[in-house]
Amino acid sequence: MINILFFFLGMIVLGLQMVLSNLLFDGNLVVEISLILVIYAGFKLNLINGGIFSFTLGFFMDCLMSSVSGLYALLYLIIFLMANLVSTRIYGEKKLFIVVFVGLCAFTEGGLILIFYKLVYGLDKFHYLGDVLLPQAIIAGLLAPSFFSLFRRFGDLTACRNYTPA
Amino acid sequence: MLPSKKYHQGLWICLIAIAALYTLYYNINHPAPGFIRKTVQGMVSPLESAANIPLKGLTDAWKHYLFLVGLAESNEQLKAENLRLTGELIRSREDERELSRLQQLLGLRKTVNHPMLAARVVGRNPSSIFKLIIINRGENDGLRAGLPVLTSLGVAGRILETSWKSSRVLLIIDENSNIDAILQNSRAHGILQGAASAGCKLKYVVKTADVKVGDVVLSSGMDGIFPKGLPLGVVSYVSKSNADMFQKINIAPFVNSLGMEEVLVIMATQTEGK
Repeated sequence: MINILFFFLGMIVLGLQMVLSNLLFDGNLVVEISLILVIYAGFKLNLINGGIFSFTLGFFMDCLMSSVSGLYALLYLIIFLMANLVSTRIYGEKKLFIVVFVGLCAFTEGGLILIFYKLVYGLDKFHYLGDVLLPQAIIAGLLAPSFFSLFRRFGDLTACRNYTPA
Repeated sequence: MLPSKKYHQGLWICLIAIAALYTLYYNINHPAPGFIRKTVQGMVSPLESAANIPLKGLTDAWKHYLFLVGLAESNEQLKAENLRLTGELIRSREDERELSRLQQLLGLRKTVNHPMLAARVVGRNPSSIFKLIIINRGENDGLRAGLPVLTSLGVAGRILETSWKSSRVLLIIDENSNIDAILQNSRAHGILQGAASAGCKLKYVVKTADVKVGDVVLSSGMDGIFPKGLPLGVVSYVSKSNADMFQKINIAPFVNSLGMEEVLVIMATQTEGK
């Protein structure tokens, strides 16, 4: 069973993400804290709990930020699975690894969204790759170690240890 | 046990993935927001509105802060610019005043038929026993003791001693300074002696001479140093006492010893000029 506190954290993260994006970048760039949380979940939660959590968080993202429901739900699930897969093979506590991995995931997520829009709606928005997605990925990557640390403390505080060793 | 658990987890993930894919597929084909989406948005909307109030405040504050940061930078630049311009204005005004003084000196130069040398006052010591100033010309420029020193207003004093590159000028207010003078209106002669802070005194003017406050005192040219007709000062006080042989006359010198910045040195005394 997924710990309810993780969902609570997810809601806080979504709110914080919206606030920071509007505050710092006037909504032009998104500080993807929710993505960082999904990746963190990939490292910390087991498949079932993490899968449901990432799907739900993605679905909320869809409802709040996306025009198509299910897109973020699917993407967050994919990213969660990637993180979970990586966590079984690589020691994921190094800051540099976290930065690079989160950056790559953010960029991949953005790229998949662009591909989706191209394939489904025929919209060519690939110029966003350099203008928006790359800076967004860099920001997410750079912020990730701090948020990992924050999530860890939150987990410690709430004794939310739903960790399944790889 | 383990394969069963893995199978169990894999099944769950597949179910979730199918749910996600179905949601996505359904929403592509039915773009109108579904019930769940509407519900979530309906739940979140009030929260979002509530969050937007402090968010707007925070955003405004942040933008205002950024504006203020820009304003502060702009303010610093303007302050620096203001300082620079103030400095330039002061220098410009100073140049203008100096030009005016030099023009006045030049005018005086034309009235005196002697070679003159301009000098700048580089030091003064009005509080000492000797009322002296130091000018930036000396023996190397041809100066020597005794030469008269003028300003555009009148006589300042005479050179007391010289070094190679500077000279000390004894001001007319020094008590050791004595100049043969004449009153412009009455043409009465007297000796203008320095009286330090009191200015000067005109001594040895006979009682019969008609002297009034405001009369101008000029150099008589009879002391062999100062050319005739140079303005010295103006009568500020006159007293005729029966007990004294001469009138008691106080003179306010034209030249302010504290305000001098440039002077002219007449390169020959009256005797040499002749």
